[in-house]
Amino acid sequence: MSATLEIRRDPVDCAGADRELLLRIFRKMLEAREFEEQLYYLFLTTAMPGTMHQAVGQEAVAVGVVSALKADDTITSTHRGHAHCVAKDVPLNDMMAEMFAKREGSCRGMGGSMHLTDFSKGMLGAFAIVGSGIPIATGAALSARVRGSGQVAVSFFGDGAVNEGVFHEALNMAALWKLPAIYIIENNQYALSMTVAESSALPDLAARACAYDMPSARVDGNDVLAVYEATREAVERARAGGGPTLIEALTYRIRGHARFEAAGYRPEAEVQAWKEADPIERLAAGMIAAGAVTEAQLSQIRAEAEADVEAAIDYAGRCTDVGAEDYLAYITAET
Amino acid sequence: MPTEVKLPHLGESIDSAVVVAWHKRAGDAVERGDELADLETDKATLPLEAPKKGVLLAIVADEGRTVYIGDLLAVIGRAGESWTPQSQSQPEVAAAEKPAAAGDASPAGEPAPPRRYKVSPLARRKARELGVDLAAVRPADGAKIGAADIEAAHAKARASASGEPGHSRIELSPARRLTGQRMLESARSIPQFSLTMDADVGRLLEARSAAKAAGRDFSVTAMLIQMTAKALGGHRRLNARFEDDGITVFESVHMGVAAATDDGLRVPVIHGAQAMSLEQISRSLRALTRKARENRLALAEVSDATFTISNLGMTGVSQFTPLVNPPQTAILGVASPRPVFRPGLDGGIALCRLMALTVACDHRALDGAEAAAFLQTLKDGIESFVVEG
Amino acid sequence: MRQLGLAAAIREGIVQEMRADDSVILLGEDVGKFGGAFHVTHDLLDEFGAERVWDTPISEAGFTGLGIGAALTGLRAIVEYQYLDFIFCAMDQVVNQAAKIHLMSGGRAKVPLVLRGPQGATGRGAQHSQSIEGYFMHTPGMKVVLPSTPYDAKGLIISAIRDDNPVLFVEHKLLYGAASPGGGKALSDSAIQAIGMDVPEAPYAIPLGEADIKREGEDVTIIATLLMLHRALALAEQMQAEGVSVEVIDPRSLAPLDVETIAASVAKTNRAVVVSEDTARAGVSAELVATINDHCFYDLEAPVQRVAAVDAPIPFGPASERHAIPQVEDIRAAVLRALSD
Repeated sequence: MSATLEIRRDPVDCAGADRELLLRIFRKMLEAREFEEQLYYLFLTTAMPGTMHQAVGQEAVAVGVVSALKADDTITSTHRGHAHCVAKDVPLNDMMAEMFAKREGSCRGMGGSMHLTDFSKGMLGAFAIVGSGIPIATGAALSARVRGSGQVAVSFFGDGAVNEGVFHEALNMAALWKLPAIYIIENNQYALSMTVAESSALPDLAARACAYDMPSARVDGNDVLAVYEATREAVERARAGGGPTLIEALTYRIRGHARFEAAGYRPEAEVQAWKEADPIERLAAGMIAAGAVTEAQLSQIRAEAEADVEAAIDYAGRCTDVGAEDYLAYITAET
Repeated sequence: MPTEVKLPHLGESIDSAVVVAWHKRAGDAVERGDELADLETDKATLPLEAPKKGVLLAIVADEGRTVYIGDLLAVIGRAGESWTPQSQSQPEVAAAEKPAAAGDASPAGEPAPPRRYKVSPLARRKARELGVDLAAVRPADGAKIGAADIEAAHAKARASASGEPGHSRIELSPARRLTGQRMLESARSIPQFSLTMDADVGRLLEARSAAKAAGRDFSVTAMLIQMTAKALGGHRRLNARFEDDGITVFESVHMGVAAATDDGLRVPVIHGAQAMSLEQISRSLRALTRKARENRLALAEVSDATFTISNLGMTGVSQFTPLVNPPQTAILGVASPRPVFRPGLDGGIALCRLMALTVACDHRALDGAEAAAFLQTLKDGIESFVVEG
Repeated sequence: MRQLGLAAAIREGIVQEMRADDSVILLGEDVGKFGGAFHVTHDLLDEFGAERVWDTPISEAGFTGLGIGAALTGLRAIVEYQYLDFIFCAMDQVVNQAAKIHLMSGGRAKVPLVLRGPQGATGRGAQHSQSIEGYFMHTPGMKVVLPSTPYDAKGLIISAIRDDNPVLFVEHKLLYGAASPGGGKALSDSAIQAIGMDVPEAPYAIPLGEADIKREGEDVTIIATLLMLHRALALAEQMQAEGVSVEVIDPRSLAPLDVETIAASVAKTNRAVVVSEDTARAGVSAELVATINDHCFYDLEAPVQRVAAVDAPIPFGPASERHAIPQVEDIRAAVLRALSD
């Protein structure tokens, strides 16, 4: 493990932060958390098909980054992508229906947990081959440049993806051509069981940016405002024609790799320490400390987020199962 | 140990058969009693039944082949079991028909592989569409049936159906061929003589009309069968079989009745006719005639005849001489009744209806006097006919 | 009418689409300054500028992904591979991403992407000689187009660019009719027919999935693409003199495949020979034979014959390469087998 990694448990410094922004961020992080916690039990108790990868504990990265974007900016996600979708305003109903393979799902039941997509929200897709979304987001950045749209494209990926060839290929081209792209390494410290120290010769992943002469930042990924601030700077640079940025957000995957994976390869004390560094609770404490909200208000927001996810589950239950032959309509597009 | 399925004894005077069609293919599972193939003899088409349960390992005698008693037709064994042909099980005719192309790697003495021509998929479809029987098509190249072969077969069939060229060729069915062979053998090898005597059938026909009016309908053939069976009781040498060193005479009369069908002559047998009532004979005759026309006669129904009647009474012939059907010693030919004026008992002229009865005999078994005596007995019986019961 | 070579015809189709539609961009190695390794993108950088014509680093997976990202966000990307052998570097992007995105998104995402480049055995050894279309004919979600004449090439590249799906556009080095600016010798083949060289100047589109009967005949149908189509046509000409009437069908697109035209021809001739420069095992020829058997079995007088490359990496030595790749005499032997069976 990198010596520079420090587990911080202190409240997020909310002094001077915009209250509306804080409330929105808090709400989104809660929705992402509640969505995945409910999924866990839905998998246990219902016929929800497939598998899922939880990002519990990593919500500050998804929500912090997306909060610095405009609605028409684009993102690519990964197999661990629920929080990105929630942050990008993909409707909870559509997401939950998709989890249950319903026709009303965000991908009409064709994608599932690992391929949530919503073009209307700039969510270009979750690409579940590690690293594959990186050049695709870069292409979206190139497209924004060609079209002169002023959009920024963000690619989320994990610490494992930086060892894929396309990471280097895409970052090189983005830097070479000063494309409006932002690369977010969600360093949750494990690629399934393999630690960053075991997989990367240089555990300081942000440092790889220097190979492409690209600005980079390494931030506390459990401090949502730190993430937000780093992203905001990157977005400004990108829109101004200054090219891409690589941001490494240090965080932790509280759950196992997938569904019921027990993650026995991690020291119990390490897991416990990160649980105590929960990004939602650190934000809540920071908001209280800054006097932005009261405990009662926070409780109400928590209740609202829970209710929204409950409503999404109810909605999915009322939706139509995907027909056996639905997929035949989606093999190739009608031109 | 695989079981060899050989041509069984099919009954008296049958020593060969033609394999018409296989209903199973090599590799098929078979149950005991399953019909493996149709065998056509000069008397009937008979099923070849599986003697045991198992898998049909090989078909040795292919469709169209003439096989003789004891010839190997097929082999049944367990699934996965292999069977190596032995030279002694080779059908006699196989060598001659063995296709040249198949001779490459076969050791001498092996049976020829079943002759199944390759058929192109298009030819199969055309055969289906045109109603051409693939089994009857022979490929022009001797190896594979193509669409052109089917079209040629179809054209030929149409030409012969319409008769347009002024002549047409009729292929002999296996039954027709066998009938011909047996008649040739009869004509060539038996010293035959025949005697003819007229019988007045006026009384018999009146009795028939009366019975019909009373609701009992008998055919003339049935009546003649009954009369003949009775007459044979006193003339046993005509109800007999000739063997090279002797004659076997029978008490029971198993009456063969020649019946013409579209596909050659059939001779179903009414067993024990001498003891049967007219109703029984009539019923039996009707059933057998129908089966003969439908080619459904069972082996038992064509076996063991001791005497044969050939009745052409409905055809208008005034007299004819049939050929003896060996090993029987005699056969009766019945012609049409013809009206004749004759002196009556009262000195006037009476109109009679006379029927020529001709008995053809194997001279090795009997002489003219005995045959004449039989005819006289039969004539008396006919002229004094009374419907019993 | 004006005549063009195949490379020039493809180029004209690209130029006309780029003029008509600002969303069309070009990505690939040496496509700009150098004009493309086989001249196909000659002078495009000058006309359309660096924002439309992107000279990429040697990063096939990367720039394929860029093409996909661009295609997902309002552009129509044409990605050139210098040799189609190199597309294997980008297999994940093509097979796992481009081909699957439409279905994964429930039809909400479209990927208007053309992946194009040259292939074919031309004395360059195993890594620059392979025929690759079989891999992508096998990939659901892909379209696979193979132009064999200049006329087809222009009409098909225009349709490929306008298509909303990933389209693999397979070109054959021997059909380009031009020397490589990279210093390669001018390529040619004696079997290549001077057909389809009349190319209208106005843009026109040939629908993807429509086969073309390149030569009508009665006795046997040959189905072939690219160089093999030309060899089949050369053979058909020879056999005409021998009294054999050969019909030659150019599918032009393997996915979608115009089964109707092929089946109608086989129903007419009752004999079929499939020819492909792809290797035999589980290859294009295998699929075509299976398709003909599926649709035309009861029209066949003989087993469908197949002529394909030997199941081997393409060897360098000229004699070996010639042995590995179907020649006119190999096709002749197959036709004779089909006719004699």
